[in-house]
Amino acid sequence: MAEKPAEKPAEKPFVPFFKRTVIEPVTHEIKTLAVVGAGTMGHGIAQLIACAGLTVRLTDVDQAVLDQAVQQATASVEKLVAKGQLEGQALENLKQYLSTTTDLAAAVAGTDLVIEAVPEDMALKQAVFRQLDQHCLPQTILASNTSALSIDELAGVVSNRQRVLGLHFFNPVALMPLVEIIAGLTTPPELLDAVMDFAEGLGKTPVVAKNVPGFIVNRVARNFYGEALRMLEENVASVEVLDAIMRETAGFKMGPFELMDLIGIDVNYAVTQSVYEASFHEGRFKPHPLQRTMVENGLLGRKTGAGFYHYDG
Amino acid sequence: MMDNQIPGATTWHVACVASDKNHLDCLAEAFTHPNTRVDTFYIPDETSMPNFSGSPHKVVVEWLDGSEDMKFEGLSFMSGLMDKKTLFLSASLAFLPSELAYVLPNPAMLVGFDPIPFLFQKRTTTVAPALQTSLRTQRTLRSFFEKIEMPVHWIQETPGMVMPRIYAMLANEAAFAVQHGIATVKDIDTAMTLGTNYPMGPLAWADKVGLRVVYTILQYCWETYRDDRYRPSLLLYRLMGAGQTFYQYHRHQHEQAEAASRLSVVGSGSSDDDDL
Repeated sequence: MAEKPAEKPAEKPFVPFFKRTVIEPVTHEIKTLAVVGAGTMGHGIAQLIACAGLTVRLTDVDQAVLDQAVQQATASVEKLVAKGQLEGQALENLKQYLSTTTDLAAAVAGTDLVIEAVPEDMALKQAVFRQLDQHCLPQTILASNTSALSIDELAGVVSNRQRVLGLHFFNPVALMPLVEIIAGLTTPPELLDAVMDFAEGLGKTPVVAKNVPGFIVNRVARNFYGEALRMLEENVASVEVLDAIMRETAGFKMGPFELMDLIGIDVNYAVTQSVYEASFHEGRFKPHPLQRTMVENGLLGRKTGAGFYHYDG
Repeated sequence: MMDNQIPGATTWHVACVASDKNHLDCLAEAFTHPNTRVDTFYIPDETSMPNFSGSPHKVVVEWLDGSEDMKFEGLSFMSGLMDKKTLFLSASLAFLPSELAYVLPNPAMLVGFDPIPFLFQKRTTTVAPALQTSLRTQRTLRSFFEKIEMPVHWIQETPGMVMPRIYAMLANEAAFAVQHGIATVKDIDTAMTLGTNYPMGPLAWADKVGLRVVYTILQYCWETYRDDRYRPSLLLYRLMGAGQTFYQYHRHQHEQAEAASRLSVVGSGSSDDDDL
């Protein structure tokens, strides 16, 4: 484009709606946050944020749960500092930046980002999102820490669904480096970018995924277990040998059966089932009958002392 | 480590046979040991079969993975010329040891094995006897693996063996995810290594093993079980057809996305127009 007619005034070219991205850059500065739900994930996330030096208000319906969460977070940070995994500053940051309240409206007022971390129950999460819709600023980003539920089903209950996304931390939050950022159908790319920067600022490695059953990790990992269960059924080898093959010939830290025992046969089965149901029975995600039989029998893995292996004590 | 070695007396003469030079190198490296003497035979197609008559090899380690004809004809040709007591270790990713043993004059002499660990310089493997394999063959092979200090696991034959089939299924699911725009190649591999502690992202694994190998494992499982869960993803098939890798595709996608974002930003000036 060497020459342009000089007399014509500059006109904005027509851009179809699906290509209209950022015209005027929107800045999403994330400095003040709230975490809703002070269970294992909730207080882990709040702890991580406070240690990074950002203001975070942790809220829960139960004051006792909040008190316990602060105790656990403090103990966890003390341990990490003692081990040298966090600097001494982290403990001061935790005391300075983490506050708690049972008043959800007060907790979320004026925040840039709210992370919902209540139990994995769609009706409960939707109720929280309706409250957030009422009490948050219109530009506050609303994130759900879910590992299995649909982000779009949450976006559907708020008036501005463009500010909803998923933020999937892994347990234990302080140690697991991965965060899955989940885009619903209406989540704009610049929101993903802002949350990506935020996650990197916390020292995590974020990845972006569309809102599909299981997102990335819980979806792609399904057949690590599913294929192994089918091989066991086919009598290819014993549980011990199949595990040993995966460890020794491929370098996995744990084989599929010892890993299922660690996760809990019931938890693993529930994830497989939910991905299978949510994908309208995609054959690749089909659970194995042995999973159900083991759950029925109470063989849930390490936590019950027996699963694919026996555990003493 | 090798104190039970009797010099000279226990040397196993091994012939490594492969249709891919890298595969051949990996086999040779894995079977090289003070107790073995390894000869290598590169056989790129069925017209270049060496003459094995009177060959001194006690064990043939074979990884021919061209066409079906090549595998069966190659095995039939080699075994026809060699001593009837020669042991065959056959790569059985997309074939069952039983159907491979069928073409041998002495089917009792063949056992299948998984060659993939050797590509990653892991000196261990999984072996599966055919239905025809004699107990004597199994005993001899057990002592062979002991002599060369290679730990192995014995399993019942199954399509794709154990580890390659599980990894191929992970790679296929990851390929579907890329194909459906769920996440990028790099993000999927990052998620699987950091989120579940996998030793390697499934797509990087597929690139390293070779998409043709991954595809044939899935295709063979699909044909054998007639179960839709093994259906290879279209993206895997496309990349294999183009002779490309997942990471090449990733770079290509990334470049295209950048070009598209330059297109869609309104009023950003015309300096980029020449690139488009």
